Amino acid sequence: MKQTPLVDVNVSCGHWPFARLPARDLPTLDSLLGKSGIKQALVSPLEAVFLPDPDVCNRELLDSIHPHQRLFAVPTINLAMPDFLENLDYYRQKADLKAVKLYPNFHNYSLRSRRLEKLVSYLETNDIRLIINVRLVDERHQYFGLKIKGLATRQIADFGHKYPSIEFLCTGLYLPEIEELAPACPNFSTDMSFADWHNLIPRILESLPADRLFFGSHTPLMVTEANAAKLRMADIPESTRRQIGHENAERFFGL
Amino acid sequence: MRIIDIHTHPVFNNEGSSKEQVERLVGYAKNLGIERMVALGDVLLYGPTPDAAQIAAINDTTEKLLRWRPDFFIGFCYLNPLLGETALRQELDQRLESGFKGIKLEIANNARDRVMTPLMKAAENAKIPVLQHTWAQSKRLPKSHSDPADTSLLARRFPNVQVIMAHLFGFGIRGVLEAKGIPNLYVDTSSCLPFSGLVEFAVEKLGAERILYGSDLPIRELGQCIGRISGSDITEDQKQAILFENARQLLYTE
Repeated sequence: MKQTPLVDVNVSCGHWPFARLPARDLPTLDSLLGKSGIKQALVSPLEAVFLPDPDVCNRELLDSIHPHQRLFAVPTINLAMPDFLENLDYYRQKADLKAVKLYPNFHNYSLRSRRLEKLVSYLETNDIRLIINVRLVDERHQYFGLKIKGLATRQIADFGHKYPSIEFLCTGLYLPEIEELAPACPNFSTDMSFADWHNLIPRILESLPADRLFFGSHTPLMVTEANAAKLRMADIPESTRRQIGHENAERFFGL
Repeated sequence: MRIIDIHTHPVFNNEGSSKEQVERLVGYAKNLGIERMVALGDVLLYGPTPDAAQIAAINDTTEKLLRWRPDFFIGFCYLNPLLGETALRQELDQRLESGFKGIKLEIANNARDRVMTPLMKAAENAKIPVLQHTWAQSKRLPKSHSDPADTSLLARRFPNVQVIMAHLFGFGIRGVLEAKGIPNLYVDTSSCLPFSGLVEFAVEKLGAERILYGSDLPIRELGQCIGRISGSDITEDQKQAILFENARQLLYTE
């Protein structure tokens, strides 16, 4: 297996109530990622998806992440909260903010929301990247008490057309969704944590340029090494493996 | 690590059937450490209830793989129990002569249906395992899909037949618990994204010796399927048992 060092763009930290997860705190998560050959990772607070106001989780993460130099905090923004721009100012004072993350379906707003105009403007002004999470689990096997659909590709495509100047990264797309969005949305990039099929990466690259495909493990909800193996065992040139494994993320997030 | 993949469809919807494609797949798989692959057939090619001619065509394709690469592929005979005892005996006997080592069942009928009896008796006589597609039942799935409770009942009814309950992620936590206490029932790890915790849960509740590595190729990517086991929080011996040793013993391969 090729041990390309990886930059992981899809990691969460915190408690997930529907499964026994192996890494719930930052020290354990940091150690797990290190053992899997991940040199840097973008981490969002998992519990924030269940809170109307994710600010408290963001602040906890920002306060506790400093000893872990491998990890970069990615705050979660709920556009329904009226003070999200004030909070972003605070986050920027606390850290060299690389990105923020949206969970539209967990926080019950659309990517067509007018509040996105404020957020996009803020991110462009301050050179911060936008990550849009599409799903956290396979909808077929959600706990019956929590049924949340994946974000519709139509919304993502419309968002990409409305804001053509902003490049954004989606996490959690299935392979058919990637293939649908790739030609329709030139400013969209994606991780491959939910994409699956034999000979996966060569197939994705038939529709999506390699500079728009990122490594994301979806740790701790998924087994880190499994998604790492997806890239490391792929039958692709080493230069492409490096590009997907870390170079794209380093360029996109300025790491 | 040495690996036997108990659950693959090398030809799927007629894709992957040329010799060149097969050789490419074998080369790729061997590069990942996969020594043998159980070919279950292109089982959805003709829908959920194929007739005798369609069953024969699917098994012909599997037999072609065995002829091309007998060192790599292990064939399971795809059957439709609804076709009756005479038809299934005829098909199974022919394929056993060709070296098939097990039976594959999909969604023609439920594992608890009476039509299973002659098939299971044939499996017992031939001393071959039966791999049953299994998925946790919901309102959306028809009754012909076997729930883990159905497949577990099948294994209890026929304690002398080794039954493989396919799709760990499809039957999940409840399915693992349904499978407890049935020594002739194995579970395979096929058809899933690599969600954390389920392999560890299955090892804790069933023991590693009852778990078989499977991918469901081509629906799943082989690297992540292997990584899901190798990256789980279980011992190295347990990983090797799941990835290789259990299947080797079950199928009597070298």
